[in-house]
Amino acid sequence: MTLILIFLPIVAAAFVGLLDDPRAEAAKRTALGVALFTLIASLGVYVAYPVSFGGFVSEFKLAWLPLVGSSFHVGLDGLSLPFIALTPLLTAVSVLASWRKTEKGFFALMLLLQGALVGVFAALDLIVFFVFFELVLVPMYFMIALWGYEQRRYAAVKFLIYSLVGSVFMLAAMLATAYLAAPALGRVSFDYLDLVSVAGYLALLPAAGWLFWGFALAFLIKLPAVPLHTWLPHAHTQAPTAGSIFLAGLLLKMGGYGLIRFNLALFPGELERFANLLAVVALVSIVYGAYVTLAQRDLKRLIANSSVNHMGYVLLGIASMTAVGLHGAVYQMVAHGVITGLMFLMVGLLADRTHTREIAAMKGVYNAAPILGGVLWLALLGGLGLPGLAGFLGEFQSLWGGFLADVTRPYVWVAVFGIVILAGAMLWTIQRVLLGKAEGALDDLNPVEVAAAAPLVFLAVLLGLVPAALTPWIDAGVQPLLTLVQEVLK
Amino acid sequence: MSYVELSYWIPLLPALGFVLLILFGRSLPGRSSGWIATAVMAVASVLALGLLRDVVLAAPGWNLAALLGGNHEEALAKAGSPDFPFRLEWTWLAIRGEAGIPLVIYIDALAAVVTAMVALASLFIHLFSIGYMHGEERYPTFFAYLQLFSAAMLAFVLAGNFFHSLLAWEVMGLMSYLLIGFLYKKKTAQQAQKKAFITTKLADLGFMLGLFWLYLLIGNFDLADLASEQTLAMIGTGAAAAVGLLVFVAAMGKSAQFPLHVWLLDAMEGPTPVSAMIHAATMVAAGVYLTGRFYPLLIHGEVLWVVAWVGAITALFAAVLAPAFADVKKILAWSTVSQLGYMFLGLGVFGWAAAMFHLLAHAFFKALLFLGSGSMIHGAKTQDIFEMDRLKKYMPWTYWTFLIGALALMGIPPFAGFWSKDLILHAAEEHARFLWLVGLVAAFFTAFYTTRMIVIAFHKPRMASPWKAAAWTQGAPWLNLGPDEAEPDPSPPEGHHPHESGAEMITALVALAVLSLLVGFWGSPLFGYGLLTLLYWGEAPELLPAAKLMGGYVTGTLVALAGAGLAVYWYAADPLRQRAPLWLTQALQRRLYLDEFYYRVLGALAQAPTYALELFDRYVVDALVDLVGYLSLVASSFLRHLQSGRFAVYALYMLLGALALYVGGVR
Repeated sequence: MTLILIFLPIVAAAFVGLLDDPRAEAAKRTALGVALFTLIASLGVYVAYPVSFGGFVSEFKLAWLPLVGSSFHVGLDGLSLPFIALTPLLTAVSVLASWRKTEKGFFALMLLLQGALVGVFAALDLIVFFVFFELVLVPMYFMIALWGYEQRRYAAVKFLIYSLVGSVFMLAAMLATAYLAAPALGRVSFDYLDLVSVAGYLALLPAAGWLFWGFALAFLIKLPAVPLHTWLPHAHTQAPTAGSIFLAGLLLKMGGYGLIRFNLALFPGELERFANLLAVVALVSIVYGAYVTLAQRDLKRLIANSSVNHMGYVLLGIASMTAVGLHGAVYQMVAHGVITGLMFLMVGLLADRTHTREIAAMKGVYNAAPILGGVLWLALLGGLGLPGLAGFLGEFQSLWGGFLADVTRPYVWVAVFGIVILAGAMLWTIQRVLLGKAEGALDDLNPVEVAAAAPLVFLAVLLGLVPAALTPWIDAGVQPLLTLVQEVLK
Repeated sequence: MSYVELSYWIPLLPALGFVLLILFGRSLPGRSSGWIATAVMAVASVLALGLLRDVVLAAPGWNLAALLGGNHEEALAKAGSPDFPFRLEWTWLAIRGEAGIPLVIYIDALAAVVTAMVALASLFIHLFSIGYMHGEERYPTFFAYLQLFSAAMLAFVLAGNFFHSLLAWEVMGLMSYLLIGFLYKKKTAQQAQKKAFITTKLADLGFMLGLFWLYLLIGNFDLADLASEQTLAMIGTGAAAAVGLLVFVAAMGKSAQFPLHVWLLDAMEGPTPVSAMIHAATMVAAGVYLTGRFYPLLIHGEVLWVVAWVGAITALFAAVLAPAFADVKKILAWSTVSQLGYMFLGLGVFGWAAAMFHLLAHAFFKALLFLGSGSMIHGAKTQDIFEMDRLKKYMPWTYWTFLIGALALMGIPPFAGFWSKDLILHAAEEHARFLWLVGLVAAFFTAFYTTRMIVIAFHKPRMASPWKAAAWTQGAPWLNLGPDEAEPDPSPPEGHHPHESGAEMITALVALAVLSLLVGFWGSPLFGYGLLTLLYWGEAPELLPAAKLMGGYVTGTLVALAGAGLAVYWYAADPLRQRAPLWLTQALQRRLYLDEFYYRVLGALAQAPTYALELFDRYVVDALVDLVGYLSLVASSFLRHLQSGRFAVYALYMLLGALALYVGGVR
């Protein structure tokens, strides 16, 4: 099943690319069909996952590079499944959001992106993880560089280079980890489960700190955490709507996911050692991100910067190393994927109509287009962490977990003010863009666009009121890690 | 099936009503969305009253004579049902190894009584709105919002886990925000809704932090657990004080207590039923309710006196400012602030049950007054009391019901506010004599501004409003409005004669007038303190034989009559005469400059880093990144000779990485 979820979109991407389809009609339908099929399949796996037992399901292992100790090993657990299900959903949303595009290549890139992202979240071998992690960059780069806004080249190159810098450190750390762990395992292995089993040995390595930071740097860039965040506003602002949805909804999540999957599981001692530093970075991301958001004049750039704030909560939750904090980090990532995806979707649809992203040039959107305005209103409120919507449970749990740990507690006292600053930014945006009397006519959402927004609205509310739809999976994913961490730290 | 088992439907029904109206409201014809919403509230009210009945039957009974005599040990007449207080529990957010957040409905006497109050007040406010909002552009949306607000408020009252209290509390805040700005094209409404949201959100941080700390101390968020002796024993005095005060800050924000009261006056931008519902009867009282729930912790932390002082200062402050206003809704808004201050004063001087009694009484009579003001505005086409033309003559139903509410507010026997306010003042007299005096002075001003409002609006012919002409009331300088954005409120057209409101509106007024009288009697010694003994939970210093209270009753009535008398003496003869020096009036009308201070100083300070950080972000952090990129390009053009290929940059970093590893590995 995991293989289908990874490779069906990739094969479909190749197929779409080869279609003789000048208007991309067949391409977009194929892309939507594949996304919906994989969505249903992934939801099936999600629902069928035995949350009370935990562990990996749909595992697949094939020796592909026995010489270097790497095998094609993939599998799904409670930590990855939320993202595995979110990926095809956001792909479907992106396809619907791009319904007016007439280039088949665009839809092929989306499918490729979907497959690669699922690969990242499913990988249980370091080399496999790295390959998919890099593969994600390719379609994203082309999406920004070819279909982006006016400064697309600059933004795309910056995104690519910045990501590659992180990847290089990660690759080096991966190689080193595998070779340094070899004495304990008796052989060189890149298998995640093998390496986790010798986490206690890894903790004693003198180079553990270096290894930790090799991974952490790549993930902190992806997350992104201040001061490694400046690729994000460019990429987000310049990317087409679908690109922004993928970026915010899924690409950033690779960072938080990686921090939990690798940094926490393989180097818990180092995480504990550097928790204070990470908490400072988280706090700065939260408060600084909120302030920079408040200053923006470009609507897309504003939302991009709010992501820096949101991801700060993820880092805070991880740095706390408590069950509640990790729950918060994962919950916040999923919530952010849904809500920020929705924000970018609505802003993209709005910018298509107004032909500007300049906040000062918009007024009375709610008056002119009530459905578009109403959903954007909801999304922006979700972005400020409104209770009743998904983001609040993520932020609350992250801060709560942060308060439970001695190392992060002092920072929580300050971090909460980020909530108010971001609320100010969002409310001011709502006032300027949505409220007041409309000055010109705007088309309201058409049925395709409503269909794109509806699942995200539904999920934002569902995850805001019914955490049972997500928390048990997170628990199944996080608890074994915590047990492991406690053993290693002893 | 008992009403207890059905209790979750009480908030769920209006929540479903919200979903229905927000999705399909636009396709419903005419006023049907209003009637649907009202019907939903009627069902919820029946369930709430049924729940109250179950609770009255299950609650322990007390021997009043023994309670009055101070024999608390022998006072138990009938043991409570073993499953009382009722508790329903579901799994909600479960984390292994932690208490997590179960979904709990907790129904004790207080929850049941307040639930019934909220459901009934909401029902009649819905009914009133059917007529009042007629012809509004977003009629179904208005009712959808009212429904979701009612759902959140009911959920807040029934919540047995403080996390859900917070959740519902915030949803109420959202609905308050959306309804204040219901007229979204108006700049003043936009500013007001933002101000309300930010002020209360800032205060709510105290709620969140308080909960985090509480969990750290006792390992759960359970409401009932907080009141138990074992739990309190786990908490040190200092920690209890800190947690209690953090939560109290949130209560101050929600209940508009000095110095966080600033948003409530502006909140009057919302349609009048919203003011009645959210900003008078229910949401603003939620702070009192929450403080009541944290009462054991506040006592344990020995910080109850803070609550008393904040309440007393607010009660007086708001009552003094009210007479300087001419907008009927703003006068009532100050009155709400002041009355909420009384409730906190009551809590602060150990008058828990008295404060809750006042909460209930105030909810009905203030909802009545606000709806009455809505009827006045509807009939007179103005909010300015000076521009209202002898409303007693044109609007008799509105007049008489408004009068019942006004007498209750002033504390004239036998109306509701008399019984409840006097119990609070009595508790203050016992525990904090100075605050008792403050409360009495505030009562004088209360009677004064209420009578002034009635005399000018109902008895006097229309006149040119003295305040409207004054430049400082045009717009609000602290709201940063441009000259064209600060529209003065419209005056009624020349020759306009007020008219009485329609049947739905009158029915709602009469119902609330009756309810306010009934609640007053239920808690009065005339009928054996029925409400107070129901709420009794171990200590009840407010329960005294009527004879002992007689001194307080007489004092209170005389003070109220004095205030009313002065207002009649001044305003019946010459309502337009300037009584206070201009600078004083001006200072009062500008709310003692507090809003301006917040806006210009605190607001500016909070926003100060914004643009500096943005510039730093662009021209330092990002520019450094570009510089590194540029330098590596330069380096790569050099290294290209060694490694021909386009991925030179990549290769360089690989090299550096391997080097770093080598160094790390060797070491």
